[in-house]
Amino acid sequence: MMQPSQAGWVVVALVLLLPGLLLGNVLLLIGAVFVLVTVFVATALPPPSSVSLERGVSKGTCWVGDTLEVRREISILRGVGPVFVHDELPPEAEVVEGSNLRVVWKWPGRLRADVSYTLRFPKRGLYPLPESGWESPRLVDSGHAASGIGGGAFEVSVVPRIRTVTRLNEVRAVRRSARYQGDRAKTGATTDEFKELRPYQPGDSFRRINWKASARSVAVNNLPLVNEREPETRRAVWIFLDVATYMDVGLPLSNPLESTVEASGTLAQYYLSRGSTLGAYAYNSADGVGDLLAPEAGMRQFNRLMEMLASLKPGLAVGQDLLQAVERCKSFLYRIRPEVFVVTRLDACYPRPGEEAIAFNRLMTAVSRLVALKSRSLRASRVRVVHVEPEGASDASTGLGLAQWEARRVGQEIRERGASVIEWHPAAEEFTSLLVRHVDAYE
Amino acid sequence: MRAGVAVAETLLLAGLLLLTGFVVWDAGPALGLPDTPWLTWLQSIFPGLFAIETLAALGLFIAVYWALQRLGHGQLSFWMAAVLVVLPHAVPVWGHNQLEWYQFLGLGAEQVGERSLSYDAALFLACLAGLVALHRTMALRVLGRRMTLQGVGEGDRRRVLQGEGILLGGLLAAGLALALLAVLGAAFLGRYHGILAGSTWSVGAIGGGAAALLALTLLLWRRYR
Repeated sequence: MMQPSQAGWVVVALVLLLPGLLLGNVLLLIGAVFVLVTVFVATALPPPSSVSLERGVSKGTCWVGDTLEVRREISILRGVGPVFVHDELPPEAEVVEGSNLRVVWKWPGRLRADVSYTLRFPKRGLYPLPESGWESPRLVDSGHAASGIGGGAFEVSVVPRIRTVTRLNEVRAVRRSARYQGDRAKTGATTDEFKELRPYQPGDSFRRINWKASARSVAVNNLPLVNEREPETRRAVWIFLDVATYMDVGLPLSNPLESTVEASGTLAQYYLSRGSTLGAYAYNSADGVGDLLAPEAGMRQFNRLMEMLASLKPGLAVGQDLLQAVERCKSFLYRIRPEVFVVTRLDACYPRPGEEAIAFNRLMTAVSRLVALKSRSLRASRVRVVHVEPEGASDASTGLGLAQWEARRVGQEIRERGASVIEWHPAAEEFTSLLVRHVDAYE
Repeated sequence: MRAGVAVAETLLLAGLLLLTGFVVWDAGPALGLPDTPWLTWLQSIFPGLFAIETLAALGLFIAVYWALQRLGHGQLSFWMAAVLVVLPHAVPVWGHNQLEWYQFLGLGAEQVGERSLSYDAALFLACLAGLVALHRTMALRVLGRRMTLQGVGEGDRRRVLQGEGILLGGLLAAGLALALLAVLGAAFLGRYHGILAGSTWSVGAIGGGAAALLALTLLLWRRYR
């Protein structure tokens, strides 16, 4: 398609050429030649073409806050002019080095250019990176432009940063082992964690026979080998995560929601490594339904939890709350009788003057029901409510903040109902330290 | 960088307007204007410094040009400037008509007088080259603004603007070289074939070449469409 500016210059050339011919005016004709040469050369210059893009990332999965290098290399064979290379990024992505939009200039001859950049994802999630696009805009009033895509689309999985509770796991190895044996169930369901190979015994399911291993080894009494799996333990843990929008306040890397995710992951990692059965439920999520992780033991459960945590989206706390979540999970809760962790912001439930205390009352009812469950592995009930304090809510210079005061009031009520409250200031203390302190206190 | 392009655009426009002023002065006798000596005219423009009227007219036109640019009528302001800059060349160009058939109709009997073809061609080509450069500078400014808005890095922007600048220089050089060749050809043919014969040959040769270029350009457009 002829561009308006080009058409304008052709009209100028015609205005010079036709009178020049009619009047025999060499000056007009020379002017027409000049204009036409510029238009012709501009049209004859081909835009950059035969563009190929290669793209890759340093890792497909990364931690929240980690940097990720997106390697891009553009190769252009033909044409002259600028080429814009751009990657459409999810809004959460931060470019920390280089740029996702680069422009390279192509002279005659082959061009290879490195147009890499580095990203950081401050929030967990599964982020699609569609194919890179390139475009060569119109050049010196020429009428043609070119564009295309390349580089291949892929997804980046950003998982919450979970800290290993090394101190607990290493220092108390002996006690942990003893407790693990005590917690282990003698009969009942098994986990999907592989334990060992053993000879077949009457009553074993045929599906558990490991045919390859049986064929390779000399079987005892010609019996095939079966896969022995780790048994479920008597200890079970359930985590209720509050993912309401009031949790998603503050900076992306340090808001209560991300802290909740971190706490859940740390708890899961700690208890699953000890052989506990773990279940979880995220309430107040964006879909209005909640996300359930059915109870299982074994480290695969940790991966399932990571997947769930990576896809959590905050929603409005309307029509969903802890009480409803307890109702939805009660079949599991009655079966496994777990220790319960509730990770939330307590000040969000404080009944302010002039408001009805519906949210507060429902929270108290939910806590009472959880306390009444009685953990199977312990005599007493074990319900712990972790209050995640938003950054900046407490300030030493201003004394106790309103939010902190409200949280303490709600916490006091919860304690009166038999549950314990753990106040966590993510800005001041890592969750692992908090866990170490509280496990010390309880055990 | 963007400011630099805008300054270059303004200077280019000012230069073109001054050139127009010179052409008007140069063609003054033909237009019936008072015959001001060249030195007087120059002094009215340069140190002294500019006559307030000249400055006001220049400033006013540049202000209108930029106002239209800001209002999003970039093409309109450019073509307005182009008409203003090219129109005064009509008088010296008219003096080089070699097929004066219109005199039979009683039209255009005024004589501009004997003028140098190469001198007028140089002025006319300078004006056209300036307009092509101005148009491209305008497009470069728009491209620079787009790149700034999109967040293209400073280094990339500089490289692109440099590349476009070099390309524009090459384009103007090619156009001027061919036009110079046409001038030399016309002068050569005029010298050896007399005025009338020279006109036929030079008009035929240069006009034919221009028509061929036009046809080639249209063919290229068709190919790239």
